[in-house]
Amino acid sequence: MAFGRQDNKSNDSTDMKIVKFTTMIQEVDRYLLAASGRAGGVFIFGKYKVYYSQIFKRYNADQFIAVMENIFNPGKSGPVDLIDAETVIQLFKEMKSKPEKKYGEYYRLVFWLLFAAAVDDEIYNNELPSIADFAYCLEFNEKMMGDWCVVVDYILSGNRLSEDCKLQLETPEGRSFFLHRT
Amino acid sequence: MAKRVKNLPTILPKGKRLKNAKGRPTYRPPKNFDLHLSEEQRAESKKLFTMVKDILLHVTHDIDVNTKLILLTAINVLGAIEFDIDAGSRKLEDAVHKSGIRGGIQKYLKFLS
Repeated sequence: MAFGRQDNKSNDSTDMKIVKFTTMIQEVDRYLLAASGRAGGVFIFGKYKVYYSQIFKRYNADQFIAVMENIFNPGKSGPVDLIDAETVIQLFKEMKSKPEKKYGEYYRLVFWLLFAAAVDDEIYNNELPSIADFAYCLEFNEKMMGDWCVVVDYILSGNRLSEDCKLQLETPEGRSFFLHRT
Repeated sequence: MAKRVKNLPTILPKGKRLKNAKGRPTYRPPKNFDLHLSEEQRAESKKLFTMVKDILLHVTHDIDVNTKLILLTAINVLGAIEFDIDAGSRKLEDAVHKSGIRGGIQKYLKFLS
């Protein structure tokens, strides 16, 4: 059982861990979006109700996942709707018109989904196949997936992500997205 | 399409039964399952399978992401039976397993303490 699901009782130590976890998530997300000038938080397609962002809602019994839900998907309720074809066409057009930022927001979503899988075993056990399918649709390859996981592990090991950190990433996509290097 | 995916397990060998992102049942056939195709049939089927996946992955209009996922699941069900190694999303899944990120929160808690 994941730490976050052990019980609902709160104590000072747990509260402090949650606060630190929240700050860490916000910092990483701000860093990931620094190049785009955005402040982080809600996914830009959150308003389109892409159901992947709703994973945070489904598993929010885990306190850490609840933190992620508050950051990435605040105030959402009701059933999960499917994204419509017209919206997807618009998103693809937008991505293709800005090749340097192609898939940037999806890269970010895949990253946070993998991060959530590392945080909560139930997400790992139940959702990993669909996260992999989703990444496959976005033309992720094994090396990219490996890079995304390396970064998840790096952060959860207590390291701070920065442009000059000592992370060794194999793919240009990973170096560009996580290290802001071209 | 979703209905077909749902019904497939009844005609396929016992494999791993999973739920997809929408909570619908999906199916992963067992590894090493053999359809006993001839070499020629294998080559032809593999070509076709790869072609269909390529088309699907590169069609960016007319098909939304969710439909792509359903189609990929269906294609993977068929393709994975004979060409397990070609199931791209499973390779990605394996890459995640190899990375060892499972239970990563424990590392973070250790770091905090």
